[in-house]
Amino acid sequence: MISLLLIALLFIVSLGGMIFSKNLIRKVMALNMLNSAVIILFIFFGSLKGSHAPILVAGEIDVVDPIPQALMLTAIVVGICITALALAFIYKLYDRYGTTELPEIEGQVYRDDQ
Amino acid sequence: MTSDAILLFTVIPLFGSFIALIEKVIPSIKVSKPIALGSFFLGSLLLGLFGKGIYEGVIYTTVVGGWPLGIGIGQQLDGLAWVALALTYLIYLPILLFSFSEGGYDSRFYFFLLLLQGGMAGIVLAYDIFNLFVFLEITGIAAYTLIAYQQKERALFAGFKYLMLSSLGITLFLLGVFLFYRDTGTLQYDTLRDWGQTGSTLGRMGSQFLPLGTSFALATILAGIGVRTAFLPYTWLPDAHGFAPHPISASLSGVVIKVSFIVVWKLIVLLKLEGAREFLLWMGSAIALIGVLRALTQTDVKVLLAWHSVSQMGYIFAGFGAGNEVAVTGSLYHMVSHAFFKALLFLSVGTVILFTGERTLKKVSGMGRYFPLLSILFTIGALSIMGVPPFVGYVSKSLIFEGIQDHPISYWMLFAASVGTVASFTKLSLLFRKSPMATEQTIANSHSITLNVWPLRNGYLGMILLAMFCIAGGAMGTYGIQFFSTILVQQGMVGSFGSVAKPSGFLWMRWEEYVKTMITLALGYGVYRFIVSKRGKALQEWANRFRISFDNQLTLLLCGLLLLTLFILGIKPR
Repeated sequence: MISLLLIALLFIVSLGGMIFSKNLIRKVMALNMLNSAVIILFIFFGSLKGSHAPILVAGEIDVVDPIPQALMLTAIVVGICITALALAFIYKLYDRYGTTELPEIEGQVYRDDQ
Repeated sequence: MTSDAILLFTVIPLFGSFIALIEKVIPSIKVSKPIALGSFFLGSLLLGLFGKGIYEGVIYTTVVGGWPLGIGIGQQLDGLAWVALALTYLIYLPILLFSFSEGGYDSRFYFFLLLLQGGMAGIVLAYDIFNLFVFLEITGIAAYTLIAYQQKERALFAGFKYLMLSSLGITLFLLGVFLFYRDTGTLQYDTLRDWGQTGSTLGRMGSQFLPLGTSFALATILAGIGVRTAFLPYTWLPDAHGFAPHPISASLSGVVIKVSFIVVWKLIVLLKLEGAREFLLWMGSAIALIGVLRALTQTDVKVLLAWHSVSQMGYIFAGFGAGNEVAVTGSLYHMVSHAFFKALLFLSVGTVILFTGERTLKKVSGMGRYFPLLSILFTIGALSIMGVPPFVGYVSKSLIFEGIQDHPISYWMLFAASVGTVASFTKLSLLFRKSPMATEQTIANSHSITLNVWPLRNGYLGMILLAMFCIAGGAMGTYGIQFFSTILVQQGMVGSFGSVAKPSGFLWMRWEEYVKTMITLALGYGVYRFIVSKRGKALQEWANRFRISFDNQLTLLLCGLLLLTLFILGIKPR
């Protein structure tokens, strides 16, 4: 139960971070944390039943559900790609706008439109 | 055709994309353009071979690597998927021709374009929710990168916003996948279909209430895809589509947003989520109107077009949401027709931007005498989006209006959106005709343009192709309707609402349709006169001050998720 609460806390904190922090890098990190929260949730759930690693060895019984682990391996890789791409975007944005603060960039965009 | 061949739809573009990347490493090997074109021909050939079976109602299913279904990665080609794939290829060729002639794109561009193509094929063919997640991400990464390909400020920012919003969406989607897997122990679509039918674990759909956890899981899954489809916050779309390179704008508006809607469509029908359907009806009517209202205030030509994509997607959602056979056929037809005319409009407007270097109506207008062919092409696109016969938009819009009559509020909202569309395209046509908005600077600008049409000949070929699709889709509307409704009804993809009479003999004979079109045009012209008047301009200035900041867009996504949960739960306005 306590684990679930901690995961929920991580989820809510990173959701808050995504919405309320003004710095783009922090937003991306919050997104990464959010992703981790879901991944941990998945793995945690998968580990509830069984106790052994799901590696195919003769005679192995009582293994955990392998599907969540297989899925999350993919999700982790995708998450890393997204984070890397987002950081690359921020680097380029910093090049153009000279800041990583969201309100300042939005202000410059607004002025461009006038 | 054997079922295994459907894997080639994903494999050909993905494999091709890596071959295209060879040119990046060894620049002397010019493979990227031939491979981009080659995968088009292979893909469409394959599509043609499957066409007959699809029309006869065959559903092709296969599993990668010969594993039993449920363990291996399943792929399925049904009617909807076939239509979506055909659409991606029909738009892909003009885009490719335009990119060739525009120039300035290197092998990385074709790499990502092929990746986009393969990702979209994967989305429509996916047979389980997790595979869907992977291909959504592949499509997403290709799309974000292509939007920012030229690395201009606004495009970078737009791409970044799109990335963050849809990543938040996809994380929610993953949460939904978790909840779903926990409740059901499976991720396959066909198990979903069984639940929808037998009424076991998830069977309490429809009129009765669903458990909160399940509703939330389904809502997160739909919301995650919904960000890509732009029915939950649509706010990223205008910037992303407006500031992308011109061929990419055409592709994004033409097919990328629709491909993910195909998935929403399948999920809602398989699970019999009538609540979500009703959500789409309301949301669709609302964003059809909002999109047009915002488009009216724009002077940036491509952003204006992008707001119209929001609005036209609203028609598609509302048509699907109305749920009877006519409206749903209209919705599918409108997906196709919107792809044709919006790609045409983006490419023709993009050509003007290429030649003049200006993208606001304040600085450029009256280009028609320099580009006679282009103004004809633009006019075809504009008349199609206004729903004027005999172009393709007329057929699909009339179908949607015909089907949605049971929902008067949505009907009138869509009607108002149509009027706004006419007004806003009358405004956009200032780009080609003489303008009361033109200042001296505009005219000076217009005179200093050097004419150099020759290098774009391939681009013109692509646009002429699209214009021909627009005319053919309208002129052969009766056959089109028959084809789409056959596919939908045969494969049970309409839904569980009662079906009404087939739309037979409706198109060309009914004078009411013509009268309605005339009224819409007249009202639209009235609105146009108002928005170019002094008072209208002041109103536009005032409206343009309201913007949704990025933080609020993220919050909107969460609000939309809650609303969708409530609708799926069965708590909704009566």
